[in-house]
Amino acid sequence: MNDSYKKLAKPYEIWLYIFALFPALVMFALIFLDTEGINLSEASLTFGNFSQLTESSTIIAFVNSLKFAFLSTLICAILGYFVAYRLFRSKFKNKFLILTILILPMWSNILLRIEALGNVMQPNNIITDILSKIGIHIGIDIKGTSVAVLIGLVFTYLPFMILPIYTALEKIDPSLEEASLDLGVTHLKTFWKVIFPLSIKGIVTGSIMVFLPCLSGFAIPEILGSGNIVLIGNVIDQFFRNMNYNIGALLALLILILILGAIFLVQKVDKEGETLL
Amino acid sequence: MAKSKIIVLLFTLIITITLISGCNSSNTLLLLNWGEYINDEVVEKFEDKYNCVVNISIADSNELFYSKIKSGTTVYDLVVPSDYMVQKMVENNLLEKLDFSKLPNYSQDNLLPGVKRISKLMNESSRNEIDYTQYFVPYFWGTWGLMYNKNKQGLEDSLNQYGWQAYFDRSLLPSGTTVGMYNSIMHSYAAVMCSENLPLNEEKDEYISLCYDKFKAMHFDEWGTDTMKKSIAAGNLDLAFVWTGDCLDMLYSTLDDGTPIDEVSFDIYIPEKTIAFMDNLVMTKNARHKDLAYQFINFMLETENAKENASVVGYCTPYVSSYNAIVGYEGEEQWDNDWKYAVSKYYPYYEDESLYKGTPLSFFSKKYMTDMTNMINNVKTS
Amino acid sequence: MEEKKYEVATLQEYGYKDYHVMQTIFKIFGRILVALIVFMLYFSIFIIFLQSINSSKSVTSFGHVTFKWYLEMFSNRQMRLAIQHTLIISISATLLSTVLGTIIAVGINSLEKKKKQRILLLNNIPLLNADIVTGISLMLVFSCLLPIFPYLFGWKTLLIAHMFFTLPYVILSVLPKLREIDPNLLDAALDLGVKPRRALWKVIVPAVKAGIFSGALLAFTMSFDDFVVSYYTTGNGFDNLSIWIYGSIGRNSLTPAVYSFSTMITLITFLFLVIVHLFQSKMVKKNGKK
Repeated sequence: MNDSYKKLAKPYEIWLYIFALFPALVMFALIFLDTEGINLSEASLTFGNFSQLTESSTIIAFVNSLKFAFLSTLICAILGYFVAYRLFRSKFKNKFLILTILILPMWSNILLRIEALGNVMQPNNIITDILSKIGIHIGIDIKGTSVAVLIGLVFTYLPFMILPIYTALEKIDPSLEEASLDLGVTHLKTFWKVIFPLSIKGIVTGSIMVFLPCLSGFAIPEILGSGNIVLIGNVIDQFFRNMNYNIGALLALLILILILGAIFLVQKVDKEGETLL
Repeated sequence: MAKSKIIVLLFTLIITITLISGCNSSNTLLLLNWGEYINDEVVEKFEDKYNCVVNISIADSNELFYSKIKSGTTVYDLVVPSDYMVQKMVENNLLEKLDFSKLPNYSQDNLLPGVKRISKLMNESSRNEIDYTQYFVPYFWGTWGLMYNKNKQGLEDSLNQYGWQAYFDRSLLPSGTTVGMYNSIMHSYAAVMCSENLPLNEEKDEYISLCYDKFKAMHFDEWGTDTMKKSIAAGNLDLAFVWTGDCLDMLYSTLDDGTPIDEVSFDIYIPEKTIAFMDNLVMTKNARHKDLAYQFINFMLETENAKENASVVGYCTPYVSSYNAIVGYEGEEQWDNDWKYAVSKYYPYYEDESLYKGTPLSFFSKKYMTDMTNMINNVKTS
Repeated sequence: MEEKKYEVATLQEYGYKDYHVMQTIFKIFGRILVALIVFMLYFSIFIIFLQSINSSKSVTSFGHVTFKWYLEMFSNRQMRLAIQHTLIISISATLLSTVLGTIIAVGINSLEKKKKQRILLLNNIPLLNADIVTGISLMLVFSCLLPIFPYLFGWKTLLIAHMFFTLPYVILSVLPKLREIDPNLLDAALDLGVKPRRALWKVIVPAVKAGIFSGALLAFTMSFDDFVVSYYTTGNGFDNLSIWIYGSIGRNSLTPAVYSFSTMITLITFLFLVIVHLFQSKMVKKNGKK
């Protein structure tokens, strides 16, 4: 494209150097220091922070995070594909409308939403109260279990899976499908051999969008797990909360590097790269 | 054409924002407070009287107060930290020594004996012989206790019989009792120390392993914060260690719904040895509006204002005159009578300081905090 | 010679399988599942709605239907201010990031591959970093300017911070659309003597409109509900609604007015969408008749 547009990216590069790279370097330095917050005046050099990585709770929390993130991504992919496919097949073609309807729940504060969800996962809640007034007595008690956390994660981040898959499906040339059907291939086979492979890109993008927040989030496991389920996000949050920025930065950067590595790999596989949405 | 429209739009927007928020005049008092911890009506009265603006920011933990003040991103005039954080702030030279001659409404005699006791305990635990009372004016205070579900058969009895021991031993509780612990490192640690009658401010590795054993054996059903009081009121949880004010807050809203006072389904048991806390108005060293800040503190010390301020918060006013105004109410108003009942029951008045319960927390070294964090995570993940 | 009689082969014998029944079942099942999933997405909003019309402050028992919390929304001063701040910041951050993000995306798209990859890798940092690290990092950078501008923290820093983490969303939404543009289109415009700046506006922007819209929507969503980054980068009392909620939840019960606000935002947006949709389909019909 036109060269005169190149300069448009320059200010953003500088912006990123100032706001992303420079603080990342400071955070990196914090790993090797013993400081109070980010106050560098009384800093002393230490490698003691790294012993946090061998702490069994850190390792278990990390494994837990991977487990929950993987499972929720898988469930989101299955449910999300289904919804996206049905939407794609429906007569509803206003993409912006679909997008907004799916993302609208996120405009309410996440804490309020998760607490509301957590409330109805307990035996006595607002719904059972209303139902008991008309004589129905039912109630579930799953708060504090892994299932509760999974439900929370899946239904919070599902929109991020549906949208890219829908976009990918939309891009498929309809004549491809027609050709396949004209050649006598059944609907099911057409789906498997033509449509699904072409929409994998959407699944990959969606998976990244779901996996990442599940991996590093802490509010959902904290509330729905009744504080008994510890993910790496919770550990990071605890350390920052108690002013231990050194260990906090160590764990956070470790995750960042892992994620960037994964993105790098995805970019290697997906030649066009940057397919987020 | 459309492009220039957008640019005009953006500029208008930016200018509007500047106008809306460009009020950093000398008449703005910057207060850093806990959420919903002040009566807006009292603030408005102050603003009208002194023709100024009170700009309130909020934070939800003492540690966040500290990091906000320390980082200096905003020069707050007044902050409301708890006892141990006042100590830490003073030791790190972040606070201004108060000039009590500018606070005519303040008098030592007007402080409740329980408040004086906490100040004394703070000074006793000082590592550098500092008189902390020079730095703060008490704002609210209270204790911690074991909030429980009255509908759970036998729970009230076992608490009255065994106290703390019941909280940490499932065999002393009725079967099927669900128990919650406050999800804060310092508070859960303090709970163990209180139950074992150990000092709250000493750092010993054996204490940490003691906590580990206790937590592990107990296997709490929930590590929660504010949600626990709601769970107990709803009958989803039976027992939890919470702020007494949390329980009162729940009590007031239950009474507001029309539940008679003897039908309330929960109550709080305050053990002999427990955590006490006191939140205080302190002035930061770099405060820019010191005169206004003094006027504000003085205003909040007025009996009527302090009482009005306490009416929206479930904690106890530290001033004798306001306390008496609340518990001495003689009238027909349901709300005032409920308030009187709750305050005199849960924050009783004793002439003798030593009858008051509770010890304030103290702050720990970074290393000890890290060890405690890991200990609790180890309990939860094992 | 006797003519052998063959039975007429049925469609089945030709290998035709009737999938109609299965397809119908699949369709019905699919509709139910989709409805169920959308219901679950809105389930928490529904509970929040119930809490907003509940006369009791309790979140576990229902008194009677009331709308008093909707009025309190405007009378609670702290909350009203917080809502104002949230709206100001998220709307202006969305507008700015959308405009700038589109321009930047055009710039990035025209870069050489190596340079492009480097920027995009950096561009990922705000998206992937733990919020708390982003927040503290930004605070660190802004603090460097404190000696010059003592009142810096507040809406200015908050706006920059929100732009920092919303820009990547806009850029990543616009970029793929940019790549789909036929390069001849732009060349044609430039050959016809259109200035690059005008071509950007007249040729590129219309072509990537869909990307810009979804980018703006994501940006708004992220900005509107942000707590951690906002917490560390704001100052001088410029708290947004999330900060207010987190702060208020600690020692006190939250006023149900917050639930009213959430419900109202959802309902208003919903109504707006329905109106826009009806309006659009009417337009389409009208145009179709012509």
